[in-house]
Amino acid sequence: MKGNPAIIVFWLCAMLTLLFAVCVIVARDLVRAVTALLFALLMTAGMYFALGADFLGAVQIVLYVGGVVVLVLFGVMLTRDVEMTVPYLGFGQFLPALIVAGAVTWGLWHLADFLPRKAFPPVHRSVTPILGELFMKKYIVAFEVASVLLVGVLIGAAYLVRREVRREE
Amino acid sequence: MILYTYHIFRVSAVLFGLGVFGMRVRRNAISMLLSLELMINAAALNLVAAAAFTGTYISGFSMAVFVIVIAAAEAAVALAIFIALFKSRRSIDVDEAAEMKG
Amino acid sequence: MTILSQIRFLIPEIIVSAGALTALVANALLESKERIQTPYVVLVSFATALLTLVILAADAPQKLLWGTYMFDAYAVYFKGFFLVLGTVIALLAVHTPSISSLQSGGEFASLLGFSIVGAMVAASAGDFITMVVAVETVSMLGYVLAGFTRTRLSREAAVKYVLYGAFSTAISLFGISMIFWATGQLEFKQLSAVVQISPYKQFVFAGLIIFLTGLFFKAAAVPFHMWSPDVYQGSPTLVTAYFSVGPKAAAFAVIGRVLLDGFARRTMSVDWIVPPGIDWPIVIAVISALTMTVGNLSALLQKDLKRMLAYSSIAHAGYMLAGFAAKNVIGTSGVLYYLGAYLLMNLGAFFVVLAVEETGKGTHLDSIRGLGWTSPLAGATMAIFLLSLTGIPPFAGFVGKLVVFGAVVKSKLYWLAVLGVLNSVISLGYYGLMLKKIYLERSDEQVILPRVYSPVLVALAALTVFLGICFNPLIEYTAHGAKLLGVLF
Repeated sequence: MKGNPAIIVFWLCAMLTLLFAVCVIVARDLVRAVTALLFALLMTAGMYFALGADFLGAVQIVLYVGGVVVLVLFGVMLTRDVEMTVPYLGFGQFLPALIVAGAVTWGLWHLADFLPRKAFPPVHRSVTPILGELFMKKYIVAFEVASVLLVGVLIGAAYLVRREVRREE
Repeated sequence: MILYTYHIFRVSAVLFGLGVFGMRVRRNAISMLLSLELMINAAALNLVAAAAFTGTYISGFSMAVFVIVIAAAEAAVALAIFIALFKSRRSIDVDEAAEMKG
Repeated sequence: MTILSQIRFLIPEIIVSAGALTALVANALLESKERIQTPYVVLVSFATALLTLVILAADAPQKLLWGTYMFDAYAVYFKGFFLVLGTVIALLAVHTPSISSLQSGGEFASLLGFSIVGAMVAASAGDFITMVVAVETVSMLGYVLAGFTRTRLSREAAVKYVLYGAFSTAISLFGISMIFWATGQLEFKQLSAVVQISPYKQFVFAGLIIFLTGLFFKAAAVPFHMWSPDVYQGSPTLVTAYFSVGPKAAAFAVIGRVLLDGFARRTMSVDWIVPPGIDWPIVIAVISALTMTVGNLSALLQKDLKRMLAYSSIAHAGYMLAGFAAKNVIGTSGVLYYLGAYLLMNLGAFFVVLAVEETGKGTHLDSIRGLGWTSPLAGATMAIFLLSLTGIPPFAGFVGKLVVFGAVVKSKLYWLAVLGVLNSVISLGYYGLMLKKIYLERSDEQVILPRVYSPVLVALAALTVFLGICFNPLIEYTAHGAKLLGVLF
């Protein structure tokens, strides 16, 4: 399995994802944080490609990187006059956060020992056509409820940011 | 170079931990949303990797697609609510001024 | 069965979605004065859906769409529950001045309708994919509803709700991904078979606990409850009434199905067999004990009615979780019955508070002072709701507690049963305080209930009494629903 390019790509993308994730957390400027998130999500898409999940990688780029990040950037622009750069918290709040997050990571890290141990599978199989069929068959309820959810979210978001209607009295 | 299942799980665990840390340490709503996206991303990575390793592509990839959809919808709702909050801070001042006059 | 013939069992959901969309269109077409009436559109769709549900229920149980959608008595009970809840909330949305004066009846109605659709699907989700999407629908539309009145408090509640809600979603998704790592299964019925023989039990158990943590957030169980009093206080009271029942019941429906269908087996006995190494009943019992105790003790300290009822609803979530910890059929049917009783009494209590709030008196504890004399009907029905919430016979809450804690004793969790009884006594402290304010103190101000409130309150109170006396049919139906969980068919 030595020198498998997919593995090298995976590790590269994984390290970059983590690096950008750290940038997201520590960046003072919100626009920088969002940009770092963009790269973190892009690198995750790279991991998906390395794992053979082409379709997922594409979805990740189109929906997450293209949609969510642009959305968040708009959010940042619209609220920018209020808070441009975000102050750091004091040590008293920093320490508990570190302890909680550290404990979570430590616990999960050690849980990894109980996972089924398998080496990287070179099984590459295109599942995209099957996925398309499944969304119309097995997962049709989830698919339809997801569209209900999106319609509801659309209505809700439009309602919340709409200008207030003057009462006619 | 080697790549085992537990390596991938550890990558996503660290990503998840970073998200939790960001949720706790940042107090700006949008920063917290960014951390949340990292956490959801960690879960999606887990699902994709598990699907690839256990050979259960179909259910794992489907779930991952829905997870991404949910994350997008969540970002939309959350941002609408944040923008509404920032707007109301302004409008509340206006209301108070109007009250004092009237 | 072809897909189209299976879709037949989704007709109630389709009707409600159509109603919600119609309400939205009607809102755009109608004059602003008539917009107030638009929630009636969803109300009609809820009623029609209830009717079709009753007709379809004859064909239950069905395992549909390759196991992703279960149409069994458990699901039918929850679907009916959500439809009744939706009907009452939609009716009051028309007649509550603080909501109808926004002239956004259509938006409110459609958000409520879509949210109910999500809850109905969550009740019959047979795999994690359907479940996650459905539960997210309920909670995401909830975030919007929390901020519906556009006041400062309401918006703060929405921000708090969306952050905690999304956090809990991320946690439960991570838990699901861990379960999937170790088992490669997302369907609950298949999962129960895989888990029994899985060599990676520690990992699955850890994943299950992380998944449950996310759901405990949504159900507002201690120690993951800190968001709920603030959100409940800040949201518009009608929406709070919905939150205290709807999303909570959806979370319970999912918890029950995942635990009893996915992580337990039942063949001929009345008890579920938990796979060795995945001992979730203990976890549920501990969380249940914490939830009821902390909820009741915190409620004693509150001065605001909405906060007090928020903590009271936390405590009730604790009582209900005890039924799952008992892991027998009686306990689970007790949870379902308790939810039904809780729907009536909790909605009733919130509606009385809402009626008082609408008269401009606020939600401070003193605002119900002398209510028994200024508005005898509101006072009397509130007394019934409060006594039922305390668990005093002959009201529905008493029967619910009796069944749940009877099951807890049956599965030899004596400490939990004792704690439950002690907690009922503690809860008398604040419910009694409210009763004292209503009847033993005097107020000269007149309280006039908004239209429709009197019949709704009377109906809820009458049902609370009715379910407290004539409980057998409902308990039998819920037991019927519980029996099929964890059975392969």
